[in-house]
Parts: sequence; structure tokens; C-alpha cells
Amino acid sequence: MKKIFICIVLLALLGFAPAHSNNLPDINQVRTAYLFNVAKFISWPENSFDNDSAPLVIGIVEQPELAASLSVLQDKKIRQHPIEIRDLSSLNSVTGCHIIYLSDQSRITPDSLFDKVGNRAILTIGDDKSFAREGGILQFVTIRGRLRFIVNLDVAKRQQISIDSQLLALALEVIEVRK
Amino acid sequence: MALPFKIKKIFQILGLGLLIWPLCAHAENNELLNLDLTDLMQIQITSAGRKEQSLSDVPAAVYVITAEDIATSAATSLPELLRMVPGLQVARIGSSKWAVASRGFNGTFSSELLVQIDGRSVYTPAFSGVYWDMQTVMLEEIERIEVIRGPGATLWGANAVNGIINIITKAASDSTGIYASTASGNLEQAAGSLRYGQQFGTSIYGKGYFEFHKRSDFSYAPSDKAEINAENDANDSWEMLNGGFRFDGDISLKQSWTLQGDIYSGEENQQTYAYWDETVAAQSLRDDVIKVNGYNILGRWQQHVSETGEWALQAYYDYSERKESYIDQSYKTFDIDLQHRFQLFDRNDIVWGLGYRNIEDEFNGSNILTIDPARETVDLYSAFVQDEISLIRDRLLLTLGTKYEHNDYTDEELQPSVRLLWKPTKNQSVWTSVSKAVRTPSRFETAISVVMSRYEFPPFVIPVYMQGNNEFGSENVIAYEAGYRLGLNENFTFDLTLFHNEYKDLREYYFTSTGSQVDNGGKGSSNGLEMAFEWKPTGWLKTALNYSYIDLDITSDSIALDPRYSTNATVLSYSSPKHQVSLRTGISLLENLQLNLFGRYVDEIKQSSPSTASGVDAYFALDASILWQVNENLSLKIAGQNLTDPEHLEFVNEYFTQPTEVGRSVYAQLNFKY
Repeated sequence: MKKIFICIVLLALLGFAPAHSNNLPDINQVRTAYLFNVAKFISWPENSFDNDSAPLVIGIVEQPELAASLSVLQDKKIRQHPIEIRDLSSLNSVTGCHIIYLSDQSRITPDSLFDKVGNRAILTIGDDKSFAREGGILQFVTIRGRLRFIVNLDVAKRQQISIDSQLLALALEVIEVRK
Repeated sequence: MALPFKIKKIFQILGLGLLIWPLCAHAENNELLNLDLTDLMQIQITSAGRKEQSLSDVPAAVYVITAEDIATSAATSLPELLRMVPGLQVARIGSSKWAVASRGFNGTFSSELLVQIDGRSVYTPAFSGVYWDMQTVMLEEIERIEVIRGPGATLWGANAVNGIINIITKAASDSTGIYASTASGNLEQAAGSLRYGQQFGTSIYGKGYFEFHKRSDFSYAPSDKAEINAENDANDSWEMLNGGFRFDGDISLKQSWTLQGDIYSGEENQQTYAYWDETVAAQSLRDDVIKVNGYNILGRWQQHVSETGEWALQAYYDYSERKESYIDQSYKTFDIDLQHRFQLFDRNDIVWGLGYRNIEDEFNGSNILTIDPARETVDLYSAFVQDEISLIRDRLLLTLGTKYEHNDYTDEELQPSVRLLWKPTKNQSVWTSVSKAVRTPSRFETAISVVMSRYEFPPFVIPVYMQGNNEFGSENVIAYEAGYRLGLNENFTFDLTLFHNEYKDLREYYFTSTGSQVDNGGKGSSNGLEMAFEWKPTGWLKTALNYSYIDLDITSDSIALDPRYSTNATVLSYSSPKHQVSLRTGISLLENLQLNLFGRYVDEIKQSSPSTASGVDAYFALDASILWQVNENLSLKIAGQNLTDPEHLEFVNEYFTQPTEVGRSVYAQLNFKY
């Protein structure tokens, strides 16, 4: 009986201790960490940067929450290049970006982004259902409640974006028609 | 002494919880940045990535029991969970024997209801029914239970005459980490379960579990107490040890696979009351132990072609054996199914499939029951097609379908259905259907020989047999259904179903020179109504009110010679309670404290078995549970069943066991999750 009592007291004490929130991590924080990690495995053509310490520019189209979340990257560097976040409200300033992220919440369609980017050495990332299939380089997908990605290697090659094989190995799917 | 051990265990778990508690703080943003991609792929951003199937678009009587319903209920077994569903008749025969039926025809051998666990049929075709005491699913690992009342034969095949129950367990990707639980109470003597799941590499998830459960004896009903044994102890305790695994993986965005398996071993006491002694006319009681063993393995591969296109291939092997004093049974089942869904001409959503099943059975009878031949292998081939046609987009849907089956008993069976769904507004739907379904003969009906009584003609004692009939054909139903659904908002839903079933060729027993023989002489009809309201008036209160009514009228031209027994038609007409009402309420007392109440009224059963003295009184039962989320990792449940009533009878078994009462049960359960 005494043991049961101790047990209940212990449980009660635990109950009064602040319980951790059951909330899952914010998707934008996970996207931020993803973008940072992905960028480490990408090489841009030499002329993309003015010099070795020129900033690596990440443009976020019409998604201020993600742009805000990305601000933690501003004191990080990728191979000497400091990271600069650009909050894009239109596609007029895509030039100068090394990465452009287009959310499926945006009014701007993936097609108009692809038109604008053309063959420029810009890593296009999006989460539209057919983003990679229709001309984007990296597409986020949520599968089994986790964030994964698929890569369109044809487009990457055309835009002179070279992707480390370690990153490709982690892709859920690699689209590659032209060998 | 079991209790000190239990306490020790509680302390151990508590200690473990305290130890790892500080480690489980959520990763902050900066910490996420330090993770590499492989780790990022393990972070769950949405809980259970299932798409909510919109029930308002299904032209059938569907009810879903969710994981939350299961977590908050006082139930400790599958049949108890099914008490939540309107239109089902669930009755407890004893400690672990159950009678579960949909829309009537209840009995231990309730033959018209198909039950599947993750796509594996657990319906035993040899005796046509489900042995609920052998079905081992860890309740915490169930994602949902879908119950479809009425014929579902077009999609699921024969024996889904009055309903289908689909038990769907969580994918390994939704069960990562440690889960442990331990419970103890007066009737639920001891229960414990342990599950561990993790991600392997980037695309494979696996989990393993084992579980132990021991339930104590129930008591015999008062009228039989004196004549059976002095203690009234029904001697029907049950224990089960089971374990299993499940792996889920993704080959690409569009291809996924599952491999899962279970193994179990259990022992169940019973006292069989039968004509054991060949030299006397009376029945006698024999102490008996049912031994059950089995395992199964299932693989599934799915290819998503598009939003509306999918291929699925599934195969499983299932071995099960059950040994008790009057018969030993064993089954080896192999099943393979292919399914394809696609869109045609924009307006047609087509599903078709092919299936093959092989069942090898073996029986070892006794002096009171034999099956001849004792071994048999049967093959079953099937094909189905269903077309859902949008007559008016999002407004009017016509579903046409049929299943073709070839079996070794009745050759060919065709089971068509027509369904129409109309959505006058976004939140209302009206549907109606006509469908045909069959129940194919079981081995018991074609090959059984059982001693039903013995008569004394001194100096002889003459046995009277009930015998199978290899001319026995399928039972048939034509079901007419109509339903209405209203979903005012997420907080109020109403569901109404009306049905009329026309049965023919039902099983009946006719007199012969040696006793009686199985025949397809029964026919009749049933009418019923099922209602389900769900209402969440505020954030802290939810209620679910169900009502169901059924009236069965089954007749045959068979007559009962012995006044102690009736015809099967009479049993079918009388074995279901006419009215059932239940109310479930969940009240959040505090943020981490929830009270759940489940009260139900079950009308009288005039006669639940061939014995004319097998009536059961109407009863009211109340279950309650208090769920205390102590912290993120630990929760405590204190639950009670039948709180308003020390004991009551719910059903009288057809054969072999004596009327047993369901007692008051109280237990405490500690759950740990990390």
C-alpha cells in the first residue's frame, strides 16, 4: 500500500512539472535546415560569384514566414560565401540569386519561374506537386510525415548546377532521361 | 504474488522516464541546422500522413473507430471496441468468447460478417465465423477500424453478407520510438506490451512488438450455479502471448511496400458441457484447455500512378491451429490479390481486381464431433470490377460493380451491386443501394457429424446426430439500403441508414432417421434503422449518440420435435436485441486529464441459441475511464467496465458452454512513450 502511495505521489510530482509541448517542429525550420544542408552539396559555375567571398543569395518567392525563418542563416557561410536572404515579391530580381525557393502557396506559377530562370545557373527549389517534373531542379515532398526531396538531374545539368553524388544518393527519386 | 512485481515494474519504468526526460527537449532551430540531411529526413513534421477519407461520399453505411477512440476507451479487446458501432450486435459470452454480428444473425458462429486485419481475412471459412479469442492485435497499434454494415461482397467477396470489419494498423513510420504499457485489474489480471520502431536509412521503417495478456475466470449465471459447481466459477480464464513486426518502405515517390507478420500462442480454459459419456443419456461437464497457435506473414506492394490511379499487389500466408476437447482444427491459407484503380473518360473511376486463395484444413474430431473427410484443400478464384460514374460532377454518383467467384463447393457466385449517391449541398448526402451477396458453405455445414443428444432405450443409449450435407448451397441475401448524412460542420454530424434485407436458402436443420441434417430451408427478411450523432459543443466536450433498431423475421418449414430446442429460423429471428442505444462522452477536465463515459442499453434477446431457455434480459452497462497525461512520455489510465451492475448475462452460447455472466471490471494501465 505504501509503495502504491509513493508511486502516486511520484506521478503527481511529474504531473506538476512543466510538460513539453507535443508540437511537431515547424515545417519552415525544417525547410531552413534542409536548404542550408542542400546548399553545401551544390557547386555553381565559377562566374556565378564575383569573388571567393561574394554572398550566396537565396531568394524566397512570396513566403515571408520562410524568409524570416531563414534569417538564422545570415551569419552562416557556405565555402567562404556568406548567405544572403532575399524576400522576392516578384520574379523581376531573380538574376543574382543562386537559389530560388518557390512555395506552392505563391500566386506565381512554377512555369513562369522556369521561363524567367531559363538556363541561368540558379538552383530552383519548390514544393508544387510536379515542380521537378516540369522543369524545377529540386522538389520537396512530404512522405510518411517527413520532408524528402526529388531531383531533376537533366535540368540541373542544363543550368550548369552540379550536385554532389552524396546528395543524389539521399534523393527519394532522381529524374534523369538524358544520360 | 503478482502485485509487488508489478510495483517494481512501475518503479522501473518511472525511473527510466525520469532519467531520459531531460534529453527529450525539442531541437531548436539552430540545433536543426547542425543536423545532417540523413537526420533531417527522420524528423516528423506532420503526425500520421494520412488523407482523411471523406465519409460523406461513400454510398454505404460506414462507421470509423479512430485511434483516439481506442486510446480513450475502457476496452481491452477488439470486440469491446466494436460496441461503439451502431448496427453491430456485440455480446460477451464469457471471459474471452464473443458473439459479434452486423444486422442480426448473432452467435459464436456468426457467419455473415467478414473481418480483416490489414487486408488478411481472419474469418475461418471452415466453421464460417471469427474466433475472436485468437485475434491478436495490439490495440495501441491500430490506426483505425472501418466498419461497413450491409453487403460489401462486390469489393470484398463472399461472406461479407451483413458487413465487413477492416482493422488497419499503423505503418511503421507512424510508430517510431519506444512504447510500453502495463495494466492490471480484477478481471484483466495482467497485460503488458512493448513496441519499438525506428527508421533504417532514409526510406525504410520498421517496428516490432510483443504483448502478453491474461484474463481471469468469469462466473456462471445464477440459474445454473447450483447444478454446475459450488463456486460458480466458469473456469474460462484466458492468456495470450503474441508478437510481430512490420516494415514499410518507399522505393520512390510512387512506389511503396509493406512486409509484416505476427505470431501468437494462447491457452484458454473452458468447461464443455456435452454428451461425453456414451453410456448415459445426460450431458456432462468436462474441464478443457483450448490451445491456440499461429503465425502469418503478409507483403504488399503499391504503385501510385496518379491522383486517381493505383496498382496494389498483396500476398499472405496464414497458419492457425486450435485444439479443444471436441475438435482440433488447423488451417494453412495462402492468398494473393491484385488491384488496379484508374480514371476512364474523365467521369469513370474504375477499380478491378483478381484474387486467388488456397486453404488446406485438417481436423481431428472426438466421440461427439467428427468432420469427414478430415482433410481438404480448396481453391478460390475471384475477380471484381467496380465503376463509379460521375453523372453530375460532385453531385450525383452512380456506382456499379460485381464480383465473380469460383469455389469448390458451389462453383460460381456472382455478387453485383448498384449504388447511387446524391449530394444536394456540400454538407449533405443521400444514398441508396441494392446489392446481392452470398455466404458460401463451410466445412462444418457440409461435413460435420455432431451428437446433439442421447436417448435411453434400456439397455441401449442411442445418440442423435446433427449431420452436414454436401449438397448444402450458398445462403443468399438481397439488400436494399438508403442513407442520409449531414455534416453541419466538424462539430456536428448525423448519419442515418435504413435497410431491408431479403434472405433465402438460409441454413436450417431437418429431421432424418438418425437425427437432423443441414439444409438450405430458411428464408425471411429483416428491417432496420441505424443512427449516429456526433456533437462537440465546446472544445472540452464531445459526445456520440447511437441508436439502432432491427427486426428479423426468418422462417422455415422445419419443426422442432423436442420442446427444449427450436429451429434455426427461430434462433435467427430472436438472437438480436431489437433496440440498442449508446452514449459516449469525452470530457477534458484539465488540459492533461480526460474523463470518458460510455453507457449503453441493450434490449432483451428472446433466444440466443437453439435452447428455448436461452433468453437474455435487457441490460444497461456503463464503462468509464480516466486518462491522465502525466507528461509527454507517461500516461495513466484508470478504467472500469460494467460499473453500474455487478454482473449480467449478455449471450448464451449455442453449444458446449454454459451461460456465463459478465462481471464488473476495474483496471489501471500505465503507458510510456519515448
